[in-house]
Parts: sequence; C-alpha cells; structure tokens
Amino acid sequence: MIVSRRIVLTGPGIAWIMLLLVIPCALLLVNSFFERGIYGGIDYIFTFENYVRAVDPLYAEIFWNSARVAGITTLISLALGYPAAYCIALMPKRRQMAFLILVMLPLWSNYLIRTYAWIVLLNGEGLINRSLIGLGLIDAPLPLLYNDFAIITGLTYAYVPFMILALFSSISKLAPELREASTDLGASPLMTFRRVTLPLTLPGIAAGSVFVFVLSIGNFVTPDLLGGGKRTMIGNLIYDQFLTARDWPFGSAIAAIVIGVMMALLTIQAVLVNRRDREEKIA
Amino acid sequence: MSALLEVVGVSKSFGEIAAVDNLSLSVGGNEFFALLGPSGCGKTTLLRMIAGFERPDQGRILLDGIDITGIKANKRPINLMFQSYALFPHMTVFANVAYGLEMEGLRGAELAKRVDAVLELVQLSALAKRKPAQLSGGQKQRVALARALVKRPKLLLLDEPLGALDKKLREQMQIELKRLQQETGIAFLVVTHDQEEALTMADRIALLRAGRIAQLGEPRALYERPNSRFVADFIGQMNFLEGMRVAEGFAVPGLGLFNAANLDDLPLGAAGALAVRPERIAVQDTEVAGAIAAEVEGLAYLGQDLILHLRLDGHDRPVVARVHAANPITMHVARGSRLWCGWSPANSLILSE
Amino acid sequence: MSRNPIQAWLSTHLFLVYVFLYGPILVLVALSFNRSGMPNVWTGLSLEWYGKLFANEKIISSVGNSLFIAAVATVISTVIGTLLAMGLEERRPRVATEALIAAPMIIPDIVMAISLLSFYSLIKLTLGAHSVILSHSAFMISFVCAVVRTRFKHFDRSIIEASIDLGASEFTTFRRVTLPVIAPGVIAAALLGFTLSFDEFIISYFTSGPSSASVTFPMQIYAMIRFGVTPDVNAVATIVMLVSFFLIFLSQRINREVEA
Repeated sequence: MIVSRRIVLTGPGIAWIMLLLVIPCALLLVNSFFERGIYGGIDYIFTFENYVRAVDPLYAEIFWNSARVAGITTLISLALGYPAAYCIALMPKRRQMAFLILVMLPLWSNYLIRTYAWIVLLNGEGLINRSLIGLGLIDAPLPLLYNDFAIITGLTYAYVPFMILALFSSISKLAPELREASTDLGASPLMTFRRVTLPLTLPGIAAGSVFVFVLSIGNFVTPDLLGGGKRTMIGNLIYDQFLTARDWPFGSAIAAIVIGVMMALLTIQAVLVNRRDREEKIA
Repeated sequence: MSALLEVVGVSKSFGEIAAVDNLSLSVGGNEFFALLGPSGCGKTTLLRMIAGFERPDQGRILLDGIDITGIKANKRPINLMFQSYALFPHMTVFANVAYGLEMEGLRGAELAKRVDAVLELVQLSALAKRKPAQLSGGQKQRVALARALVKRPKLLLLDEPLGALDKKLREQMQIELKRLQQETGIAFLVVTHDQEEALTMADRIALLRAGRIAQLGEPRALYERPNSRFVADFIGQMNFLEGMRVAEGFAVPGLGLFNAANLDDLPLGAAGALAVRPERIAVQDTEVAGAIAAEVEGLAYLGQDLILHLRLDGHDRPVVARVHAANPITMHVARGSRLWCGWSPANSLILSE
Repeated sequence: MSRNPIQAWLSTHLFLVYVFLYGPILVLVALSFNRSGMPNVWTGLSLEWYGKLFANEKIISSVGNSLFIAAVATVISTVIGTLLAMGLEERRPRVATEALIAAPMIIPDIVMAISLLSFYSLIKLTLGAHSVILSHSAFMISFVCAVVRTRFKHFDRSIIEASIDLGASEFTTFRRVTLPVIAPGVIAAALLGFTLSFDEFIISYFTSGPSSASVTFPMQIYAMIRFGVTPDVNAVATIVMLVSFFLIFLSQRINREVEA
C-alpha cells in the first residue's frame, strides 16, 4: 500500500527526468560512436574515430586550455571564498542568513547580463581602463577584454557565490569549541587554522571546488562573450560542432568526455566526504 | 472496575525483532494507567497499535468488549497525544482544537462551545488565537491535550506527555494531568520511561521489558514488592546482597544470616539477592547489638537527604543508604566515619531472578 | 585579543567580495540612467533608454515568449516536482535515486542542450516553444523538488498521524494539513523555477528552433550584447535584475512566514 503510493508520487518525476535527461544523455553517448553524415546528419556506422580525434593535439590543446582556465578560476574562487565564508560563519546565527542571501542574490539575476556587465567594465573604453588612465596609472588602455583574464574574471564572478555557499555549510558545522580547544592547548591562530579548521573543512573545499570547476569547464557563454571567440574552450567547441560544423557525433564524443570527467570528479569528492563522515562517526 | 480496553495476546515484530511479544493487559473505564519501561521495550509500539497506527501480527484489541483490531485510526473512539505534540503549525490554538470536532461534522456555535469549554479546562482560553510557534513548551503540551480531550474519547493515549518539559514544569503537570483525568473521567493510558512520573500519576503501572510485561500492579506494589531484580532496579534504587537460601534463613557471605518478608517463597539452596531500598537502611553512630558495622566511603549531600556509600565489614560490594536530614548523624558524618546499620526483615526482599 | 586583527582582515575581505559581486551590477544600473548610455561620459540623468526599450518590439515580444514558456514550464514542474518531493519523503530514497534527481542541477547546460537537441531530432519533434518548455521542465523539476524537500525537513510527520487520529481521512489530511504546511515551500519553489526558466539561455538557444515565437528574452539579449556594449541593454538589465530580486525576495518571504 505504501509502496504503490510512493510510486504514484515519484513516478512522474522520475519518468520525466529519465525521458528528458537520462535517455538524451545515453543517446549522446551512442551517437558519439557513429560517423558523421555527409550532409551533417549521422551515419549509423560504428567507429572510435571521434574519440581518436578528440585526443588530437589540436583538440587536446582546447581541453588543456579549458582545464587551465577552470582550474585558475577554482583557485581564485577558493581564495576569495574561504575568508568570506569563514567571516560569515563567525557571525551570530541570525545575521548569517542575511549575509548569505546577499551572496546568493546575484545568482538570481540573468547570467548574460552579469557577463555583459564585465564587457562594460573591461573594454578599452571601459570604466576600469578609464579610471586607471584618469588616475594617471597607465597611458594607454590595458587589453583587459577578449582574453583569458576576462574569461577567468567572468567565471569567478559568476561562480564564487557557489564556492562561498559550499564552504559556509562546511565551516559553520565546525564547533567553535574545537578552535578554542586548539588555542587552549597552545596553538597559534595560524596553527589552529592549519591543523584543525582546514582539515575539517576539506569536504566543503572539495565540494565547492568540484562545483566551480565543473561549471567553468563546460561553460560556453562566458568564453564566447568575454573571450571574444579568440580562445576556444570545450563549451565553444561543442557549440561549434553542433551549430556550425554540424558534426554531431564528434560534438557528442567531446560532451561524453566532459560528462566522464565530471562524474569522475564528483565520485572522488563523494568518496572523500563519505570517508570523512565514517571517520567522524567512529570518533 | 469493568475493563474498557483489553489487549489480548498481542504480538508485533519489525523484521527479526519482536517489539511486542504475546502481551495481554486490560485498562479500566476510569483508570490512569501507565506503560513504563526503558527505550526499546515495546511500549510505544503497543501504544501505536492501540491508537490504530500499527496492526498487530497476532492478538486482538478490544474496546468496551468490541474488537477494534481491524478498525482504522480515524474511526476509533481513542485519541492520542503525541510526544512531539504534533500541533498543526498553520492553525491557531482554537483551530487545532476544533479540527477533531469538525471531522465529526460539528459546526458553528456548538463547536465553539465545546472548544471554549476544553480550553477553559486546560486554562488556555486567553491564547486561543495564537499559533503554535508563539507558545511555550508547557502551553503546547496543554493544546495537544485539549485537542485530544475535546473529542471526548473513551480512552486517551499519551506518548511521553511530559518528556519535553523541564523538571519544575513536569512536576506541576503531573498533578495537572491527574486532576484532568479525574475531572473528565476519561481513561488515560500514558507511555513513559520516567518511573517517578508513573509512580506519581498512575493508578496502575505495567512495567515492560523486551516486549513483555515484567510486572503489573499499583505503584506501591511495584515499589514495595518488585518481582524481579529488573523491576526493583528500574523503579527506584535498590541494594542487592548476593546470597543463598539455607535452612536458618538467607545467608550472605561475610555478613551472616538474614530474614526477609518473602523468605519462605524461596526453596532451600536457591541463590538470590537480598534487596533493600537505601532509605530503608537505618544508620546510627553508636554500636547496637545485631547491627552491621560499616565505614563511610563516600557521601553526597542532597539537601533533604544525605546519600552514604557504605562498606559493610566483611562484604566487598558497597551499599547505598539514604539518610534523612533530620537524623542527627548527618551533622558530623564524614568519609571514614564508623557507623552501624541494619534493616527490618519486613523491609527487605529476596529476589531470585 | 589576537583575534581582532584577523577579524578585521576577514571583515574587510568580505566587504570587498560584496563590492566585487555588486559593483558590476550597480554600474549597469547607474549607466541605464545615463543620457549618453556610454560608460565614459556622464551626460545627465535620463529615462531615455527605458523609453526606447518599450518601443523595441523584438524585446517586448521576446519577453512575452519567455513569460509564456516560463509560466507553462513552472506549472508542469511544480506539480511533478512537488509530488516527487512528497514521494521521496515517505522513505529515505536510495543513493542512485538521489543522484538521478540531482543530475539535472549539476549537468553542464551545454551538455543538456545538445543531448536534448539530439533527442528531439531523433524522435523528429519539431522545435518551438513547446520543446523549450519540455527542456526547461526537465531541470526545473529537480530544483522544485529540492526546495519542497527542504520544507519537509521542518515537517513533523506526526501531524499527519495526529490528523488521522482526530478522525480525518487521508484526503482531508492532505488538503487541510499537508498541503497548507508545505504550501510556502511549493510557492517558493514555483517562483524559483519561474526565475530559472525566464533566465535560461543555452538550452533555449539549442532547442527553440527557427521560429520567432520561440525567441526567448535571454536569446534576444544575447543577440544584442554579442556585438559589445549596447546602451539599451543597461535598461533591460536593470529591469530584469529588479524583477528577479523581487521574485526571490518574495519566495524567501513566503517560505519563512509560517515558521515564524
């Protein structure tokens, strides 16, 4: 009786996600093993060619560049996010919510518009260059837009809130008594951070980093708008294969690789968190 | 007293674990009955079966002689006061209390009259328009009570009714619950793990252990005449002196022979323990014939009482004695003091299991 | 005492992070009122760009498309997502189920976009507003479900039993107890879903097809900003942000009210 009731409730949702996420993704995987048709369709002839092509230096370079940009973005987000999350976690409980909402709020404004704001700020005639020239710090405008710097800035801007939220949930779980105990036992603040706080908040660091990395590496809009199409990232490559080059099987293969990397990262993170949980339970 | 509720040979297991094991009991029409026991003893499962939220694997439940085992919870003239109170957070106090009456089809003035009357009874009339979140723990508890009482059930079940309250309020509410039970004439069946609560409120107590009744009786009987070491230990505090039944009495190694209220019930040669309540041990600082010499190993001052940990000469396990503050020895007793103690046979029992 | 300098540094850092987060947004808002529309010259306060905006038929019609798509997708995903959340609350779901339900939230949107495009093309579904609605509902269900489930976390399940104990049927219990208690969560979830759908770009871009009836508002913005700084976008940006913030504020407010 309870079982059937549960199925009635969850059935439509599960079916919906199966139909519109699992099956399409499986289809993507299947398509990645077929050949491209002459007119852009798919010829149903089995091949590994798409994956062989993906590791060609030309494309490997794009993978590497994407990973580098996503990695730098993750590190900067971490450096910006950790002290911010820590600071919020130190606040009294009733004030935390307001500060967290302030962190989340930008997430709810349109992503394109937030990216556009950086075009306004970073371009040659933009606010930052103007101000720097006005202050006499530079003579000619710096090339701030349409390069990796702009992409990383845009990605960090977009995703640092996720990092802060993930870190906050981890840091706020930490009992303040632990830090006090460490201080009481004679550790300096730095030592306390290194030996107590940091190890215990590692799951949050892992979660936030994986999140930011995954979102960044598959991003398409930011490289397109802030990179000016000069530097291609995986997102743009997939986009091109589907909408410009019309080589769907190859695009599918690249997407499959992205999903594979993503799942591997998520699995590693889940395993780390799980192990930590178990250790804490034993303790 | 005719039986209102009869539980006949009820069993219920969850997977491998038997929560309730072939249990039978009956509750009278105007009785305050307590199901007492440690956590996991099956008392809550039994309560939920009586309420209709669990179905027994075996056995029957009768109310007024009618088998209600197969009747759904919403059709039973029994109401439950939940441990968490389970107040509807989106409804006012009034609406919470009115809910059950609405389900009976009651509307308008008649409904308001019944709700007002019961709110009066639990002294909550002033808070009728509040939401549960605006109430204190004690007030929530009384709303939960009013909500169940207003239905005028034949039997009211209370699941750890005072568990969430602090000590002072709990003592006050114990008396309050007793008053309400007497005023309404509804039978109360309360589940609790707190022996003091059961002793204070209940007319009769069933002490449960591992899904079975360890002992059933009036509070005084359970306290004065426990039938096992488990019961003696669970209700109040008890000293046990291990020994054996011999022809002349009950022999405790190192201490000698003792007599006890139930000495004759124990067969010759049987092992057991002589059980004496701490407050039944008489302690004095002068030697008396027949008293056991002892040394004070530790003591705890409780205000009205003094707890002494005594090492009886010739016995290796310490004995706890509870001495009333009025006893003159409390003025000067200290660690290492020599004392003499004893108890009357009528105040001791021999427990073999 | 040694904490004070650390505390001061942390607070300064946090403040700068907020400057980083809100600075660009505020610049856009300020520029939207600048007569020249360009960031380099301030020529005085003006609502000119807002006026132009409302005269731009493409923008207006794309807003209409987005509103329609978001509204329909919200209805679908709120119903299915709420049921899903209720079902999952009955018993602790398996890890695989949890992963499946979380997947639409974490999968890169470009991957979801091309997989849906491939799928629609395989089943020969003509693209249009309906395919965008389908696509959006797929990820919105996950978000709706997640929000409603947080509501259930504060939900004492014994109130359901209490209702039955007091004589109510299962249906009456759902109508009078369960639904009113989770309603703020459902409304909050719907508002969130609506915002997500209204702002979504990539999946719409891939699954909308050539028809102008399925050009969503973000697609229109994208077309405008691809060519660099265009002043009328500032006004659009300001309005969109205000509306988004208001919706989120509303959803937070509703979700918290009953708890208080």
